Amino acid sequence: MQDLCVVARKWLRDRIVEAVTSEHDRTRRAMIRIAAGLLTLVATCTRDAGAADIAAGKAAFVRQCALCHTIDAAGSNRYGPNLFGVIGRRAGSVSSFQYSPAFKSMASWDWNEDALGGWISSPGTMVPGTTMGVFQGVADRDRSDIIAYLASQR
Amino acid sequence: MNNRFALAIAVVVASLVAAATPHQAQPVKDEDHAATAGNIRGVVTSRFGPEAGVWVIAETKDLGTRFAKIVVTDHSGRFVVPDLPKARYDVWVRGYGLADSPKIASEPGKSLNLAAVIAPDLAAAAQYYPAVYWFSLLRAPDKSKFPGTGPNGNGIPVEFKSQDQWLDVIKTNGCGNCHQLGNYATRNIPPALGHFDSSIAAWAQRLQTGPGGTTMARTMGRLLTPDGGHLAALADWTDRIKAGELPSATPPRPVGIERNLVITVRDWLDPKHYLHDVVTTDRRRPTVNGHGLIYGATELSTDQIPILDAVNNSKTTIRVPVRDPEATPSSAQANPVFAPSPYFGSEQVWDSQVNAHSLVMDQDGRIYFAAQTRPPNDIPAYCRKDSPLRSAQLYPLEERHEGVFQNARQVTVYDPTSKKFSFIDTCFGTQHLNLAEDADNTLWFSTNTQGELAVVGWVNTNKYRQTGDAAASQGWTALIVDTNGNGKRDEGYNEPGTPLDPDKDTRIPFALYGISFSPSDGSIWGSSLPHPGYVIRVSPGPNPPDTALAEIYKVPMPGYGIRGMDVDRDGVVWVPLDSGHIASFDRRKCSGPLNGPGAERGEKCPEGWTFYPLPGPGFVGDSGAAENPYYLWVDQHDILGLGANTPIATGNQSDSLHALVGGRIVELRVPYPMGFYAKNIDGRIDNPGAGWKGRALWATSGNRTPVHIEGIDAPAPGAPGNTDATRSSPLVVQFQLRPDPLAY
Repeated sequence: MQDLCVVARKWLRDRIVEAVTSEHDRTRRAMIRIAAGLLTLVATCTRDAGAADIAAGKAAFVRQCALCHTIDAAGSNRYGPNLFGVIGRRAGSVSSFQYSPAFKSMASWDWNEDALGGWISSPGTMVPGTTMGVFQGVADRDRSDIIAYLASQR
Repeated sequence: MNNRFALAIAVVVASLVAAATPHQAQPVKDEDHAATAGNIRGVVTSRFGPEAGVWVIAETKDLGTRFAKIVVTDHSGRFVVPDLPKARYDVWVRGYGLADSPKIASEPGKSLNLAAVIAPDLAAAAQYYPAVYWFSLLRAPDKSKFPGTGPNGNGIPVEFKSQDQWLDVIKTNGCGNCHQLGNYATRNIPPALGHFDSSIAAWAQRLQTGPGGTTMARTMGRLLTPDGGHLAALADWTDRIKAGELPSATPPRPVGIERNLVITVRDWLDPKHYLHDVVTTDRRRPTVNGHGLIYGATELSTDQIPILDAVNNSKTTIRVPVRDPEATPSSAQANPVFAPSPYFGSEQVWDSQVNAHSLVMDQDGRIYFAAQTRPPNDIPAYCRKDSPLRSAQLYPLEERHEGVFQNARQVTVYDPTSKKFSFIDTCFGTQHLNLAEDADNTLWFSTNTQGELAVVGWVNTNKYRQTGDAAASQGWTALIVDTNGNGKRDEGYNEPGTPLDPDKDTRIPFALYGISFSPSDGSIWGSSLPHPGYVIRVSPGPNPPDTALAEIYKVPMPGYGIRGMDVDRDGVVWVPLDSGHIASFDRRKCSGPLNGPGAERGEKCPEGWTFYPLPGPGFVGDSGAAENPYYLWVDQHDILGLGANTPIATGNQSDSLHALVGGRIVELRVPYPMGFYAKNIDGRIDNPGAGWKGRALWATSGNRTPVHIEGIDAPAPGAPGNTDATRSSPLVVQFQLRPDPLAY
């Protein structure tokens, strides 16, 4: 099952790269949406392997996310937007945060657990040109824990 | 005294014995230190006897700048601090193996015997070690972790193919680009940062503080791994230091000619604003502006350019204008303060429209700044393809940038005589600049912008001065390599990233960072930053827009990690490398053809390179010093006295300049205040007939956090000041070399 998830995810990421390099804008956007959605589904392949650990997610957040994000209710935007209550929020909707043009032009989803799973696994693949593209993404082992921690902060 | 410390002391003593001159220590004779009006002199002793190779620091608060003059004791512990301005001084001893001695009040004309304080233990002694000794304790990922296979592989990002690429980012072309890692300020977490559950959380916060937060987050973002990557490594580093881990090596005391050095430290500007460069003279004729005012360039920090009067020890600033003040963006827009600085809170301390990166002085004392004068998107019509300018016809520069664009600078000229500014609106971006030794006084510019904007530009300064016509005075060329091997530049060329037609020349997308004119053949050389680093030669030819040809040479192992560069009068290129080397590239050593297929990859002539190790310890498992030298300047005219053509690298982790003499490094150390970090060097002859007193090298501290430099009356050795009044401003350091340690 694990191997299948890895293969499927790689295939989908390749399709995204193919889509974003297409010269046909409409096709490109449609493919991005489809591929991104599928990616988020596949990204959850490993999530059921064990119960998500909020405490472990918090530690992983500090290691890999806190460099750019605050998560407390009163936290300010930093290099990335504040993430308090991110689950259920419309992507690109923090009014006081200046999103990259790439993100603003592509982000058309709500932040549910599946979307976050795809995003934090490989932001630069999901939205080429995003400011967050400097970050390679989290490991599969940390993904569900981080999402559980994000979901707990609301 | 523990065994480790005893060993360290033994090493120091052994090095002193080995370096001793034929003169053995003797009782000091009265005639050896007859006081003179402007000097403070005496002998330094400890309970072990005379202390050789330690520094005597004379500091005063009476002058118009921070002022400290520093000398080294000779083999008998004797010292002479020469030519002190009239003032009240605190005098004390600093040295490796010592703790600072109590400050003794004195004044010029006095004799003073000073009691050195032997450090009680290694921990106390190590507080005075240069940053590299502490930085080398950091644990970088092992070579076996490369190439990176991503978060689900070995954790290292796939962009990092080798360990040296990673080290380049944590050193010069990343963190070390702005900071001296390992000084007191960086190896400790300041309490004012706040309270955190873990050191990783503290570092994550720290890297978002102040106006550098954007750049730090962007850089560190590349270095994150599932285990925290370099963020966790920094936390581990400061945790171990807090727990008492100490450097495993001991710095040597100054020996030989290093004891002849006279250091004068002044400051300018203020603790909130940093500088990039300093200029004192015309590099080609270093007697220009003798005893004159010294100018700085403040990059992103402020439009107020500092000016130092080193004769009267006074400082001031002047505001550099922009042509279009309403629309020209400020650095503040691209460098917001995300999180409060432990020093300046949420104040937006960087706010510069001018963004003056570097500066040179011409033969008449005019100053040319690589500086922003207008909005990046307001591109003159003469930059377009339909321009009458030949450069534009061949390679138009029409790419518009909205908002702040770091290297979208042009040229601002300041005439100190008339005190007027003028603007040269260049189509190309400007970054570093260098005057040619030619009839036109051509000023050459690097752009430091890779890709389509990777051009080399020039301004005929004579023509500009005579006509005021910026368009007609400028030119530029793309960097075209002779890959078809016919010995000349042809119309039409391969573009980077496209299949190469072997019958054509090829454009390379590598931009120049440092730039220097070669007096040996009139070619232009530059450094290029993409890992592992390159040097590029541009031969202008008779009509540069049409005839300029480029050559590119990649730095081979063991070297990597380049920033600035310079050329000596024989045409040899010298570069500082964060692999822990100074390297030379001598094109005369090349044995094969330098053009033809493959020349665009930079792999020709590895035989042209020679590497010289820099001093200091390395990371565990790395043979190179954990040094990240930023720039290198060649003393073409023997201004300092170490010989003509002496290459001198900035010792950014070492509180020093590294001069390469006879294949070995002569360390020009600035022991006080700790934290000296330079981004370039200049040299001036004030009076050719005055011997060593009539000439000096000059450098300003270029770290982006001058507040990290040891403060005035610092609360601990090397520590920043706790108040606005005691925090360090950027330093201006004057280096002079006398014929012996006691000359005056």
